[in-house]
Amino acid sequence: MQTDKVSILDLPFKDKLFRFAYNIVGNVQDAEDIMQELLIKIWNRQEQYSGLDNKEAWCMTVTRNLAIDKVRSRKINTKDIDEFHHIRDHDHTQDKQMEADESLKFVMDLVNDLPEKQRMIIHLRDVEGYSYKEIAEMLDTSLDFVKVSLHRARKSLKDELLKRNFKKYDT
Amino acid sequence: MIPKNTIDIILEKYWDGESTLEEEVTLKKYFSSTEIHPEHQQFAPLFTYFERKQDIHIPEKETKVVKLNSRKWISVAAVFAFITASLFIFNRYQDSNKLNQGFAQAEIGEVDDPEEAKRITEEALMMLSKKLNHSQNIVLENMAYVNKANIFIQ
Repeated sequence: MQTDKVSILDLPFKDKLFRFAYNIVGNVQDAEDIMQELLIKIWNRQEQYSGLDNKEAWCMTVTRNLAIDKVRSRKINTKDIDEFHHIRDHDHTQDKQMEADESLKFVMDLVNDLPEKQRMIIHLRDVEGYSYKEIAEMLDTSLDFVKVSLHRARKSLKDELLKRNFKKYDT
Repeated sequence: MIPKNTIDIILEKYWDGESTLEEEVTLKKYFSSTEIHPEHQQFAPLFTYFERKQDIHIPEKETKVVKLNSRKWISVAAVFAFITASLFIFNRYQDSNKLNQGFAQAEIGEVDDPEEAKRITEEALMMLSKKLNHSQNIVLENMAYVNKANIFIQ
């Protein structure tokens, strides 16, 4: 019997998709579930998918929608706010290592505290290196909104880093 | 080494959200080097954070979808056809039984009224017609799945 592996691992931009999902949902398990759901969507829309000019942008948009749905359903199903925070525990090894470093943990918390859209835009630009146009397409928003959000997010990160530095030398 | 002035200019553009991707690459390189100006040190964790985030990879767990070759598909289609045909025959058998029961009732004289007999017959024929349509729909629906699966084989 001929067997073929059809897997999310076959996608050349799989890590970007996983990181984006993980950035929104905040835990490995849910991010993996989203990858599976994305694979099913690709499978069910094989013809549409193969005709796409920008498969990466399409996958990122689908990943974003699936991740947002996951977070929303979690909020509905979670009565206890502490339980919600527990689910969003950034359990990837890389994040755990960063938590061990005080200054990286500080930045991590700052980024996580940004409004959802700003957090997504910062991630797509500063981690993944997408252009403003690509980000606008992925998030189904305008170019101006991307630029304004990025400016606000970076400004708030800068202010907090300056405050932290000021406190460090003040004490 | 990149002059401090250059980094200051790029950093300002960066905070304002006006830097280009190339300039941002320059910043990342600068902050990952060992020659960061003391004045810029306070921003270093931010760029280190972005760099570390890039090291996150999808866990290597494969989801296997077994793709059957055409020979296997013929057997699957044969089994499927057999089940569908069996269901179809079974439904027809059940309906004819019900119909026979209706006729039997008429024969043993339980239904004397011709109007009532006509009504029972019409009801039985209607039921038979519905069942036949239902079976036909099941076959058509399942054929759609088989066709969809064939697209992937090709």
